[in-house]
Amino acid sequence: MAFFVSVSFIQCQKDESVLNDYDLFGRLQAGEGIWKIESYTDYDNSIANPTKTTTVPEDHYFEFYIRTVEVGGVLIDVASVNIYQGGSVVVNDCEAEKERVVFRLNEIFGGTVWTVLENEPTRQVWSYTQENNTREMTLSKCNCELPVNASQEIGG
Amino acid sequence: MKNRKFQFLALLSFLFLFNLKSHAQPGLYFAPGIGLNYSTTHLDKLQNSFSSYLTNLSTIFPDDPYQSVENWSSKSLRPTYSFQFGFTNEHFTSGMAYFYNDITQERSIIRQSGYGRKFVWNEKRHEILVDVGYGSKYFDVFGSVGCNLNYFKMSSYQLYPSGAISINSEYFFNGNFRQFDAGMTYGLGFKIKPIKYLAIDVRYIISRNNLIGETDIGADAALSDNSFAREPGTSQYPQDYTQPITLDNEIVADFKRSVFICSLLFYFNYE
Repeated sequence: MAFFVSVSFIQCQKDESVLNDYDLFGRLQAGEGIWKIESYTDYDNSIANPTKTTTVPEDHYFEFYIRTVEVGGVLIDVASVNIYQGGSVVVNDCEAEKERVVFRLNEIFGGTVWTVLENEPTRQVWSYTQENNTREMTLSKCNCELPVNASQEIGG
Repeated sequence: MKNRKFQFLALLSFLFLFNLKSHAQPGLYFAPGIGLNYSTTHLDKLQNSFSSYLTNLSTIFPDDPYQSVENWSSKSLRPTYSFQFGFTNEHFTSGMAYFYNDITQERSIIRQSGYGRKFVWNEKRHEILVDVGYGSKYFDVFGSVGCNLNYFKMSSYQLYPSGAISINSEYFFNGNFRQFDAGMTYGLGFKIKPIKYLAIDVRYIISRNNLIGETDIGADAALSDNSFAREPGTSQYPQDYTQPITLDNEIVADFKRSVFICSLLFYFNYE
């Protein structure tokens, strides 16, 4: 019995491997679900040993969570991500597998596809490639204060 | 098909509980273990697909030759992890055994230009068995029957001269193609218990691709990438890269395996 209880706890927040489930999402949304973008590294992928340019953004965060939306009168849960860049926040649908993370904004098909290069509980490295340009992004899990825009009441 | 699989699992659970109830007396054991798993299979469909990819490369890039690369291997030697529990006495043993095995292979085809493709094939195999046979203090011999639950995955990446890899939807060949399959498993084995708390489990099992009656109710799903990032109609992993990418050009990963397992068990017996 102790073994099964132990295994049950060990399995908490671990990646699942169920067909077509977003098996990285559990890890990304664990805890507060907040990841800070530590750096971007850009380079030309068409040449060997390219010059790489690294930039450190300020206040770029991802916040992963499950969002409940109504579709045709039915409530469904959608794996989602809030993308914080400076003062702005954009909500995307998210597919997160161990090999690939997709952010999709108001699209049925398509989206921005990141390739997962490193997958650790508190550190992720993903890359995005379009033609000759590749951008690598390093994320670290944090309990950061997210930049919050002051709300403005416009009625009522 | 799902109902059949659930019914089969329910039957297995019932058989085990029935055995426990029938022999609810001292002699229970539980035994986590580690060991080696040697298995062979027929990966013909994957191998043919791989060959067709190379043929396609030669056709599309005749002036950009690739380094020769070995096709997918049908043999595997991997660590295995197990857990067993059940009942044994002087003349009888009965229990359940679970084995987990992860088989991963990688193949990279790199052309002279530096571009190429990387394939990663992964099988996560779970064997759940009911063992019944002759038992004694130092030696058990048993037959096994049960089922296997398998998760297959083929990840296909574009390679770039810089060393970058990409699985994005820029190319149809990129993708993360998955399939689940279950089947019957049966086999034979024996257990040696030379000293207290340690045992050696040796068994041979045949891990089939179908459950009982499954062939009567239609074909399995194929390796497919159901991400919304892909264009509709391009979701199947191609059986033949020289043919158009369609829903019919697909691979059903119905790979059965013959498996030899040797495990060291940490054997706890409540007499």
